[in-house]
Amino acid sequence: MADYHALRRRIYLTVVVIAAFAFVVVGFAYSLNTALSYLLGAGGGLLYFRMLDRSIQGIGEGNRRLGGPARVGLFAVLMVMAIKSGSLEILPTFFGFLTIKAAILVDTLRTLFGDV
Amino acid sequence: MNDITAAASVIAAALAVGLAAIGPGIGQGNAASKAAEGIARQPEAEGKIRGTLLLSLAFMESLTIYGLLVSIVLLFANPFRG
Repeated sequence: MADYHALRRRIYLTVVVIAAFAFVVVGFAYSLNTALSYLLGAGGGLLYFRMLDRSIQGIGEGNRRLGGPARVGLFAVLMVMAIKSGSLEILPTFFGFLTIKAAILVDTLRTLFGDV
Repeated sequence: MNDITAAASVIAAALAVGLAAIGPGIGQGNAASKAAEGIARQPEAEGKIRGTLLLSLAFMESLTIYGLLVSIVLLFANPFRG
């Protein structure tokens, strides 16, 4: 399980680094509202990843379910919040949510090509 | 938004999220069952198997999320609203 915990830790760290960098860049290039929308999405993505991680840790421990509406519901709540709030934007929130995928890709590439 | 656009949007939203959930649902079920099987066969490789499952499930579920995004946009921020 040490491999798994190391992978989780690396991905969390990568998400935080990418999100912080993107927040600053978006804040300067667009506006604070856009950057906050991105940050909200990134936070939601992190929470989503944590829920996925919990359910994967539960595999093989009795009757824990892998699926369920909670993770996808989290995304739906996040997007509806961004749409309805008026001050937040849809696209930055969605891209923020996708930060976790970017972190996974970065980690996979790092694993493939070794630490440089 | 006129009635036909509203009705078409609701049907399209339902189809988008419903159809987008079929493939990943089957894929996630297969992946999880094979991972549980692998962990039972080789408990010493548990960390690696769970790690691979985490990454593959994250990407599989993103397909459902794309469908959900389309349906949310159709329902709450419809670009075809008159």
